[in-house]
Amino acid sequence: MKVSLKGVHKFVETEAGTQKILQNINLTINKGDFVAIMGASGAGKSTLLYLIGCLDFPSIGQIYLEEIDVVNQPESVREKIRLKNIGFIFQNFNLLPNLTAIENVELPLQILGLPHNKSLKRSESLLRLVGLDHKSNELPNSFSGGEQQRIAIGRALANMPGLLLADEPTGNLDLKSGKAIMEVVRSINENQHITTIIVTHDPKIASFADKTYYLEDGRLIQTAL
Amino acid sequence: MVFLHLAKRNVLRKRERSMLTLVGMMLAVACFVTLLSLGEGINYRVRGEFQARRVSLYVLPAPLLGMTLGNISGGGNFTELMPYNLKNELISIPGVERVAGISRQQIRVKNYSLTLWGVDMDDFEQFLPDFKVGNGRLPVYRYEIMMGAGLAKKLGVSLGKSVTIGSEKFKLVGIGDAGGTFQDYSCFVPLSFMMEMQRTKKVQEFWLQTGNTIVAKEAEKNIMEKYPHLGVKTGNEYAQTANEVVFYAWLMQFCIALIGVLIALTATMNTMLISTYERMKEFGTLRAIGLSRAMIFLMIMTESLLLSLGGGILGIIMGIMGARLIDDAVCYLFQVAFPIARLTPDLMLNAVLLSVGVGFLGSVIPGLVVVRKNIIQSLRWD
Repeated sequence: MKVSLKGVHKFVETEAGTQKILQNINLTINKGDFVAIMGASGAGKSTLLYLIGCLDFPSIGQIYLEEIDVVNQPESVREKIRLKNIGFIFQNFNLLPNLTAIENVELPLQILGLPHNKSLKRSESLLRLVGLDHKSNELPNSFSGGEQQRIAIGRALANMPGLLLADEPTGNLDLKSGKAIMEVVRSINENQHITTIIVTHDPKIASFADKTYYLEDGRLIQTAL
Repeated sequence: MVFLHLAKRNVLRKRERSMLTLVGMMLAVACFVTLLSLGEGINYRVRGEFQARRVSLYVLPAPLLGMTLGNISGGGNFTELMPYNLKNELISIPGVERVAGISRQQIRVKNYSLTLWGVDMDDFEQFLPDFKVGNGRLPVYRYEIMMGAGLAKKLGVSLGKSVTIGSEKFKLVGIGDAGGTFQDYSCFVPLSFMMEMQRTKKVQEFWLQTGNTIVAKEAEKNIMEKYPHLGVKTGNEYAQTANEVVFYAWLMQFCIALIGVLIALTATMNTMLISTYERMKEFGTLRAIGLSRAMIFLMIMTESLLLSLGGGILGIIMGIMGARLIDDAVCYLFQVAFPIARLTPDLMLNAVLLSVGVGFLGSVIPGLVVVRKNIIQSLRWD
């Protein structure tokens, strides 16, 4: 999935006045690209990711997913775009604690209305892909952090998205687990050609990406290959 | 139906909290069913009593006009009486077709406090046509008695057996069915014998039948003019008074039940609100992966409905037991022979609707809190 941002600004009203989170972001990410967005804490990395993921609206500017101007779509359309085209991976995994591993992976497919036998089959294959098929019926709290993030990757891939968005996916993991997770993400990007955008402050994690962008004080100030 | 699956899991997640909400709802619905079953019972019996009578005009001593319900509560301890021979004068009033003298007395049989009616038996079937004597006949001689089927069953007596009232023995010659009204729990003797027992030639009331309501009004006017010491009420006025009393009794019970319901509603809403705030991040995640706001609202509502309906069904069962318990307690304490509580399908349906209503209302505020929250705020919720 191709992603384009044109003149994107994000302002937030605070008690101290208007805070400029993002300023004049112009960015194009082609289908199948693996992009890392780096920056210090508070630089606006996650905000940018959430804007691309249709979770928030820019104050000014346009965001296109393929050729669709997602900013001007009603919430019902944005919900469908999130459901069908975008996979999210969060820093804190955000698994539903009362659902088993396989049920967590199956969730987007259930929301899509896929028949249970088909969604189950796909979820099993995804858990196999992330190496957790032997623990599919266990609840998230019985998994380690790395394992929970793998389940979250499985869930993000369940609806076969064109765009995978990862917000500090290794932020809560040790070095070894973080590297393992990034290898999984990298292989998914290579094998399935899913456009992947990862937000991180860690250069080692960013090195898995093909391109790295830097955000500083809300501005995309540098790009590198 | 992903929201159903999630709702079920969420209810089971905090079992203790869900259980306490369920218990709160159960108690509220039980309170509702028990109290309103008493109202239903009183309503049914009082209204049934008046509907069963075919009386156009009631003639009473004027001071007793304000004591209308003394007649249906099995009172009869009136000090004001009217001479029985007034009947001959009343029948001569234009428009009056039939007159029956009535006297009642509070009696005790076994451990029950009952109403003994003295009625002109010649006119019994005209004035109380719904009292069907299915077994035996009307009492016409001294020491003969007839009673309602409900009372006969309660006392365990059958036709031909003797019934002791005070020191006197009566022979049960008839058992009638009046469809569960007060008459079903009363007994009847000929008016002449009632007056003999009371050592008087006076009665408490005269019941009059006239052609129609216009004639009744005319007859009422005539009686008032001719007998200023008497009071007259039409059948409708009499029933109206009873309806008012029944309504206020019902209203009082409803208000008490409502307090329970409001407490249950607040508890359900509070539980749901705490539960939604605890899971705000999960709701953010669900919305991020594409679950619509409507589905999330539906999920919260389903959780609330599962709790309220579950508690409601248990509450109905407990309410039925409560109604029976109160019935037994009232019968024992006040020694009345007739059951007070009445459980009707309408009452059960209302209890179910109440549970659904509480579940629905209990989920509205928590649901709105969740769906109005920005996804980012939800995802960053701590």
